[in-house]
Amino acid sequence: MKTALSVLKVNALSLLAFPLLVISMAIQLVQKALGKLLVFLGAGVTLLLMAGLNAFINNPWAIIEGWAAVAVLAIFFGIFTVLVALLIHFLGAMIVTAVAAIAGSLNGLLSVVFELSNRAYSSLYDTCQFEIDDLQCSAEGKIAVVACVFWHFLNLFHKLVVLVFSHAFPISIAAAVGFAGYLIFTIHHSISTSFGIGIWSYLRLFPVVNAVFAVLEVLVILSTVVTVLLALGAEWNKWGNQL
Amino acid sequence: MKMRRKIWFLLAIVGFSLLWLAGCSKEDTEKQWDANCHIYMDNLPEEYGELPEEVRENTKIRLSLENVAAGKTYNVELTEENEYEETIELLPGTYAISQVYFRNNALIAVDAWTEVSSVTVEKEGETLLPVFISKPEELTAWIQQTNPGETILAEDIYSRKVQWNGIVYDMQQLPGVIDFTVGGEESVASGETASLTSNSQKGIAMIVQNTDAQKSMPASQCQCIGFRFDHIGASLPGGLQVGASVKEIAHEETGLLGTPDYCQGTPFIGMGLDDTSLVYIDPSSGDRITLELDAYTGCVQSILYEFQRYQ
Repeated sequence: MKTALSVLKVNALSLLAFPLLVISMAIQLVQKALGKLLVFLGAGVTLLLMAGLNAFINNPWAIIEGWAAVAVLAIFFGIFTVLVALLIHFLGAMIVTAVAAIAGSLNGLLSVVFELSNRAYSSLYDTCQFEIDDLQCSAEGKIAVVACVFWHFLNLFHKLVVLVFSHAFPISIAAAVGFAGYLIFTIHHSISTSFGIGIWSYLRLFPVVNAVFAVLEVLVILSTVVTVLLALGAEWNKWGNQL
Repeated sequence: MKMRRKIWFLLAIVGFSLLWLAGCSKEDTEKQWDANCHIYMDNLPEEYGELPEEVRENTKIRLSLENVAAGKTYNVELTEENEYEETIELLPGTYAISQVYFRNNALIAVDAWTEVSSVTVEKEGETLLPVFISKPEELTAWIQQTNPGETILAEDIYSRKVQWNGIVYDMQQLPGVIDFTVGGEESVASGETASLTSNSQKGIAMIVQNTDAQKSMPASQCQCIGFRFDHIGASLPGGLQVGASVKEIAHEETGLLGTPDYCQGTPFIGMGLDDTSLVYIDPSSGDRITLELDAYTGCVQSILYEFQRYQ
């Protein structure tokens, strides 16, 4: 009777420990990803600036309307440049500070949740381990331990996570290569389905400036994602080795 | 002992959280009564299916049902995606039906309505709520007019012919048929272009150019150099219409016009960044066709036919 109750207890505790383990790990992953928020922000700003520059090169007179505006701008060009530079500097600093503050407070909140869930998981895990040790010493030792299905499942999951994250860097390299391949394939497939021609022939239909900016925009997106993937892979790899 | 208490406390929190997460959501409140209302379009004409998919996808029929007792409102949208029918789960009771809105800017104005102003939904039952359009025969006639006829289908793409509301015209006859007066007073600088529209005919504009090298002149006195069509009522030779997809038009082998001579705007078609234009030029007449694509759908949103542009 005591053995049956112990088996039941181990299974129940393992079942409850599972979501706590998942939450703890998810929080760790999110916390590390939050550090990359500024990289995405930088990529977004770069894309916006490129779109603006592209529009300006394509039709500068639509932006600076008429010769009078050009003359006024030329006269006040010095002041104008200084004002724009100051505006960009202050706005940039404000945005970076705001994003860092939001990411920081979110990180703090996540740390508290991580601390709680991790502590709860550890307690449950230790209790289960203690019960398993007891069961192994009992008369029905082996059968009783085998009956703790959820305990084995929890351990298996934990080992699997450790295995995956201790190889996170090579996985992230594969993911980055996969993403680059997928992006190029998607673009090629989309063009070939709609136009029946290849990427190069398609780009040649557009003015050089538009084609160059399109390629640069894809490269910015690609390099951002690849950088983030590799950086996360390296961090997760380190974390996986510590687990 | 203290440790055990802590564990049971944690277990209780986790248990309650799971129960709370898996517990009665808002959706389940309605689900448990099995009281359904099936809302569907009843008299959409068969010919509606002949419209290009891109045009049909813009149709949105909206109405809402308000539970008289609980004051709870349920919004319904009938679209091409749900094949103009939807079944919603409700609380049993009586519902006031709002006005029905039928929206598609590419079509003629269509009014939609329900026969009843309220509907009662029973427990463990399904109530049918048909939605009707007013004068479906008008919509049918209009759709039949917009379908490219045999005459226009057989014409050469650069023949300067257009089927407008069911009748095939030579484009140069259009100023005599349609009153392009709106915008006629606008002064046009030397070499500049302007567009004149009509009060009576929507979706067509005449493009004029001031060819006088010296002075500005009113748009009404400028030379007609082409037409812009941004309505499904216009069909160009081969069946080129607003709402057509890039593949239908520009595919190298199967497209109506094949690979464009050149393009303008962003190469990222249909990604909502900016508009893209496909340009085709007839080497013999110099006529130019510019197809402006919608930034979001990537479908043709306007067709510009210009005479003797050569570039």
